[in-house]
Amino acid sequence: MVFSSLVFIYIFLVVTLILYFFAARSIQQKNVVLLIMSLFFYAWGEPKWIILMLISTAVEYFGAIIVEQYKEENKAIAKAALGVSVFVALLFLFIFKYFDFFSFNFSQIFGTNLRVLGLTLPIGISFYTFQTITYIVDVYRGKAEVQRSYFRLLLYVSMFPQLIAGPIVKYVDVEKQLTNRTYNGRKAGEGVYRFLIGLTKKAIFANIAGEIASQFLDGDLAELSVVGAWIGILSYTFQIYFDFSAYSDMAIGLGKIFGFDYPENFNYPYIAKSISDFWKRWHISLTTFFREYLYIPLGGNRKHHILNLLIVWTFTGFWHGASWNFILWGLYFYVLIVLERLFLGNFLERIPAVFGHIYTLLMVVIGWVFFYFDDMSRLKSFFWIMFGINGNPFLGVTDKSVFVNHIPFFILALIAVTPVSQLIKKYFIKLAEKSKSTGLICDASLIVSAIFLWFIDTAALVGSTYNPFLYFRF
Amino acid sequence: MEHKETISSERIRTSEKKHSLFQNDGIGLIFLMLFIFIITVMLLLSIVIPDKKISERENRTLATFPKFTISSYFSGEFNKGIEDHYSDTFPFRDGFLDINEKITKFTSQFSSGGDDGIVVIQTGERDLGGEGFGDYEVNN
Repeated sequence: MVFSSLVFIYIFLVVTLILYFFAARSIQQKNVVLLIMSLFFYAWGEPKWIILMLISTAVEYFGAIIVEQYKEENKAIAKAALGVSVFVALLFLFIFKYFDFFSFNFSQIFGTNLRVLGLTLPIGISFYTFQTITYIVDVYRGKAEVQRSYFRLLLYVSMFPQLIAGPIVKYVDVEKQLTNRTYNGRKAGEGVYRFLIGLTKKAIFANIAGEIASQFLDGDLAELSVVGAWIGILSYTFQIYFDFSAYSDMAIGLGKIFGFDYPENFNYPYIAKSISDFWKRWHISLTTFFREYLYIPLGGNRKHHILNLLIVWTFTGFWHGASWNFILWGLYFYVLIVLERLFLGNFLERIPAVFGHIYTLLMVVIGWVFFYFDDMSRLKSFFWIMFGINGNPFLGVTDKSVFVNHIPFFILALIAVTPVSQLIKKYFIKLAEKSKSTGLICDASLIVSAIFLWFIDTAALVGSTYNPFLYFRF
Repeated sequence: MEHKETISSERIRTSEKKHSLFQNDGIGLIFLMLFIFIITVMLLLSIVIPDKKISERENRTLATFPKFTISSYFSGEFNKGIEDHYSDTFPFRDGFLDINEKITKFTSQFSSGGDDGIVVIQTGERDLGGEGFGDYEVNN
């Protein structure tokens, strides 16, 4: 079940909200509601491998208890328990996500015939595995207290808002909220609004961008023009941001409704002035995870930091999928970040800021080519087309009309990727605080705009099932 | 020490208030309840209104409620079937489809008919859906 589906909003969410706000009284009861609904939510999309999540959580649960028991008196045992638990968590991830990749490539290189498991990837495993790791590592580091209730730990892991697509919430960030969270109307109201913003980004912006991108990127590359290639990859640049940040918006919004504060995951990444800056703004919870649980333990900036960066960026790429293109994508950013650390960063600071923005955006857009094409030969031809090397026409017959037709969309999308909305929000709040009457008008307009968003989002969701085989035709 | 803590938590509370979209808890709560009310009404309507079997607009039969079997559950087919059925029989579906078409027209058909027919081929699939693609979907 995805957030942007009618079943999620109009059945699942209805039942959950009613039980949470009208049936459950104490925080314990509310937690029970959240846990049961979260498990139901997960089982809906992953009826078989829900068992894996339960086991994985149990391993970290018992592991952390052993860690806690021995970390004062016998560090070696605590360390071993930590090592084994993290190893098991990563082993599950490896078997389901990476085994086939390794066995296939091993067979290719050495001519052997290794078994391919053909397992489907359990939904959200990449996210919840990392969450459980933050828990046990932070217990070992003394940052988090051990959780004596398995079900409470399971609630942390399985909370449906952040279960399948992040943000990767560190255990310490929500530790206290599992047992004690303040309910307040302002926060809940903001949560609903944030959810609707996310839904709009997904149901309208990401889907339109996706339709345009697919027209250019999924067809016969021999017929693709240079301009078409750029329109395609720029549309994909929009799509991936809207899609991914929409999920984070909806997750954070839902979290707020239930009283949880999740960390922000995106901070207008496309206005970054360098690649290092971009990665402080894009999928923040993932970069934070790699920094705190891999880069710093490896030695961080203190020793062999170029090597540490290489490891981190290889893993960052590989985390996105078991395929060579994602590794290339990670290495691509590794090279750029090393260059920035060596001299490019200094250089960018001395020239006018606009060049930094152009450079960053260009590099990011080129990066998405690696991300999009998991077929290496298509990846290569696409690059050739982009830079006019293999003689494809400069402008295709339909390029102009597709672009012109979507001008209103591109304008809206451009506005939406910049912090204009934050400026409006600031001005709006200032206005609302001016006097009682302006406050009332602002509140009313907020609600009216929310109803408008709800209305067009629902229409878009209903419309998206109008022709469910859209992608088949291109 | 204790005194200090109350001051800082007070400060946090007021700063939170300053950055909040809603002016007070009451209105935030009303907004939340309104949201819950609207989606609940939609759910109730979808239960009460009898399901249509055929969409004249798309010239196709709408998805019926799936049969439950152990195997269809574990393959995910059953759940997928419920999702299809629910969106096919969503209350005021035709009205929402009209609105969606208007949104699409605005965002994606800026110069409709401008470039001699090419425009229609590229972005007008949803309009063509009426007759041509109805059969296509049923066959799939």
